[in-house]
Amino acid sequence: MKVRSHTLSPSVACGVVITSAVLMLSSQVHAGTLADVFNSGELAGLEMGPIGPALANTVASTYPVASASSSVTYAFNPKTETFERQTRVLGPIIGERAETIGKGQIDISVSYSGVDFSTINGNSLGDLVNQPSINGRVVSFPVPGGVVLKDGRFTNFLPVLVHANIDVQADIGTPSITYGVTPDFDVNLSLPLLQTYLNVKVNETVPDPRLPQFMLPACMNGSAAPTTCGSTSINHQVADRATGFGDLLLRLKYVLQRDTPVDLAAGLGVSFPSGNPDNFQGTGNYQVQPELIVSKIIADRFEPLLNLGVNINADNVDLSSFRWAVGSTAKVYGPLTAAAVFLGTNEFNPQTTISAPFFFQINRNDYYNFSFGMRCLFAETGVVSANVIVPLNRDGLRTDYIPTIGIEYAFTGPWNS
Amino acid sequence: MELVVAVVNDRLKRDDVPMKAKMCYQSLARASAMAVLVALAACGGSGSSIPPNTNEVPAPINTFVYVDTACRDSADGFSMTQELRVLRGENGPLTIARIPMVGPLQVPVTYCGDLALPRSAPLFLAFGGFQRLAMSPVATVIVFEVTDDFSILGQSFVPAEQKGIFRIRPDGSGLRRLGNPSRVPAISTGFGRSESNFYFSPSGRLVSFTDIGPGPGGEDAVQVFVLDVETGKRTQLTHMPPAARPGLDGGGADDFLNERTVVFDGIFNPDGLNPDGKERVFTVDVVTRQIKVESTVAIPGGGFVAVPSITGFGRVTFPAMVPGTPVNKQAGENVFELFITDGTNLLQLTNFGRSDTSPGVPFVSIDGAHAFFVASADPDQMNPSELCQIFSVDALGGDVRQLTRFSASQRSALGCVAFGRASEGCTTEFNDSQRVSQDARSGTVVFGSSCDPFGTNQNGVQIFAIRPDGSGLHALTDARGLVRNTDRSVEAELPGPWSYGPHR
Repeated sequence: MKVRSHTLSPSVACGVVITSAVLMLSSQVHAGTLADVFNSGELAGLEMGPIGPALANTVASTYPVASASSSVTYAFNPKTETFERQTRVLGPIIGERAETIGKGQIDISVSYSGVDFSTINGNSLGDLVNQPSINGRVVSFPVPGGVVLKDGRFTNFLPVLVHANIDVQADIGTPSITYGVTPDFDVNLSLPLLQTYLNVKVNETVPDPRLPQFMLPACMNGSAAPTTCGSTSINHQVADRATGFGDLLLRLKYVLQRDTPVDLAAGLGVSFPSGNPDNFQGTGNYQVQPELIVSKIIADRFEPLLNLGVNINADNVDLSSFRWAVGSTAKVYGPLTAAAVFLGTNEFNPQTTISAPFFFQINRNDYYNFSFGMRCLFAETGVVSANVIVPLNRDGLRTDYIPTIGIEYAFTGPWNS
Repeated sequence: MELVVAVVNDRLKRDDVPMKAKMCYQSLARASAMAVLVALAACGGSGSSIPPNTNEVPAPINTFVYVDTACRDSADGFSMTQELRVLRGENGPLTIARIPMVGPLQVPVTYCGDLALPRSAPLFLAFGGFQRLAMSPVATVIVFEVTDDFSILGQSFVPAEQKGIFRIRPDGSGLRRLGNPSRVPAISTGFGRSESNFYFSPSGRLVSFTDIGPGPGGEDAVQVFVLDVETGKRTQLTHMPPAARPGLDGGGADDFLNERTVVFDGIFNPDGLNPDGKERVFTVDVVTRQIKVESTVAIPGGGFVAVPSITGFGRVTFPAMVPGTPVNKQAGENVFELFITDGTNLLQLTNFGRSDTSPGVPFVSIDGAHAFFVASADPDQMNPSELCQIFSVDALGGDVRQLTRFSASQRSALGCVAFGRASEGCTTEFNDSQRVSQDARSGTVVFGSSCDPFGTNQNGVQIFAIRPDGSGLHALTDARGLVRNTDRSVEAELPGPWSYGPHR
């Protein structure tokens, strides 16, 4: 059977990337960054400054990356001398399978993920409380001219109890294109467009009641100035938003063997630091991602998969991580395919450290997630998908869940029609 | 290398020390002075670490170096010997350099007894011989100075070619002369000022100190210098005009803020930075020689204290006068309390209301969580004699703890300023360099005291080590102190100056 050819000119396909480049330039003119929010005047003195760079170094690496494997694949039938769509299971939404799209075939997709971070090291970002002191240092509130404490000592600062609500969100739209260079070799290019949002609310109590040695005398008749007697409560809120491109990701996949007894492919990804880390849109460094991909279609209905890879930080190898995925896709009913994959990332070392971690520290993290989604075939080579990633542990910066929806369309390149 | 600083390599078993020391001193007393350039190796070190009189495990020490000075006033005149000794871990003292017997010299006063009476070893710097001293941050190099150019004895006993600044390893090997001694005395006339330390840079490559160099008009004046302990290169960092007060116009060189920045203090006005002539803390860049005046923080009573910026030191703790009348007027008329600052935030740590709180150099612990200081207060009713004890306090002002339990049968009226007869009390001091009084690894605190916790320090000074929680107190030295003999001769043996490492 000859499949109807759905073609898209190369100029249109390239247009996705070209437009992305133009928008990337426009994002660079954004004055100030989200990380700068923590150094804003409203938050000055609250020892939150180091949080910005710490988030910048970690947030983008936690964003989900949609599979580069096309849901629809083609195989050349020498009898009919045409490319035929394989009617087996659709590919995974997160994770990779060994199958390639087919020589001269093109798959274009767009996905959207909503990321709303909720915890850091298991602690709610909605109510982070500062450490009372770290090696004799405190989050301090200046008292110009000084004040005499209840026990008669003099000080020109008071410690602060801070309740912080840090809301970090990212809306990530990722156009992606996959092209089959040879029957065994795919090239994929993805460039996410992100809108990131940071909202920091703090409530300060001065002096910190956890440090009774800083207790102030009781206020008399309410005539005393704030922070010279009793206790004072202060609220602040700072928010900012940024739009820009994330890290450009080039992924290559080459099939090493087919059906003997499994499909085995080698993958290589290269991530370019096109995203601004200070806006939580990129990692800020080149990353090389070699990967071994194993999958096997069973009874044209199930496709277990196993991915083993390393995310090598080309700027600092110590900040690399081991990545893996294990799971399966399965045809459920008619055009509907379900995908369930366990995902893991094991960092070699902490991605950064905060010198005075009053609110949290960045540790070496092991991320374990479970990804579950459904895909539905439409119009023969179109696929819509919906997926959710839920965390299985609470190491590092985490969301409660990450929803992802996507649509893709595969077609034969004009040179194959 | 022939040196009056005779390099010896004596390590004594601790059990041997008392007898060895006694024999040594007797031999010194009999010896004639100036001609003796022979290392008295058999004397060895007379220092010893005395175990505490409890079952506590002594606080661990790493590398401790000190000068042991023994002198004698007798009918024959004044005589003296000095040794540079090292204690490492649990080993006995090792004498790594020595100035052989000096004297008997005919001098107009009984220097030995007079200078030993206050029980303050820095006064012995006035004799000459071993002067400034320092241990490198990781305890691999000792730098020391030998000169008698400013000796109150009025006679030279160190050959000119053997005066200088030297480096040596703690095991006694690798002695090398780095250059001439400083032309600024380590202790000034009237004893108003002493500079018994070199100050190492964080890497251990440079030491800072004061020396004479040309001022802005080419005239000689006291200046800040650094010396490269690898090459011996000496670099003048400042060009101050001559000053009225001793030393660096009353101040002196101090620790490095970082590898490129040396701190010093005084009342001068370099580059117009201190037009009102107040005592200020300055920094000078080792490379560019640029001088900066450091920030000041207001203190109660309208005063200001100059403190280095947060870079490098992090925080400093210091005593400052506050308004009020002290509860112990005999020791002084003003109230002094301990403060801590990072250059911006200032916090009063104590509220003893006494005149003698922290007369010496307090310091912030290696981990920054505590400050250590001396005081004669009795906040927990554990110091009824009001002797000069070591305290720690949380860097945020709480949890004042008395670490030592020195005791006496009668109350000390002078507390921490009891420089004099034992009947007046005793004093306790840390090193003048804020960095070298605590072991950077174990946290052990090292200090000198004329108090007598073990009944072996009735009229002298010893250097002690104690854990930061107050346990494991033991003596690192076994100096005899001041002894008046029945033949009217006076003998004295005091330890100091001293240094300790690792301290970074």
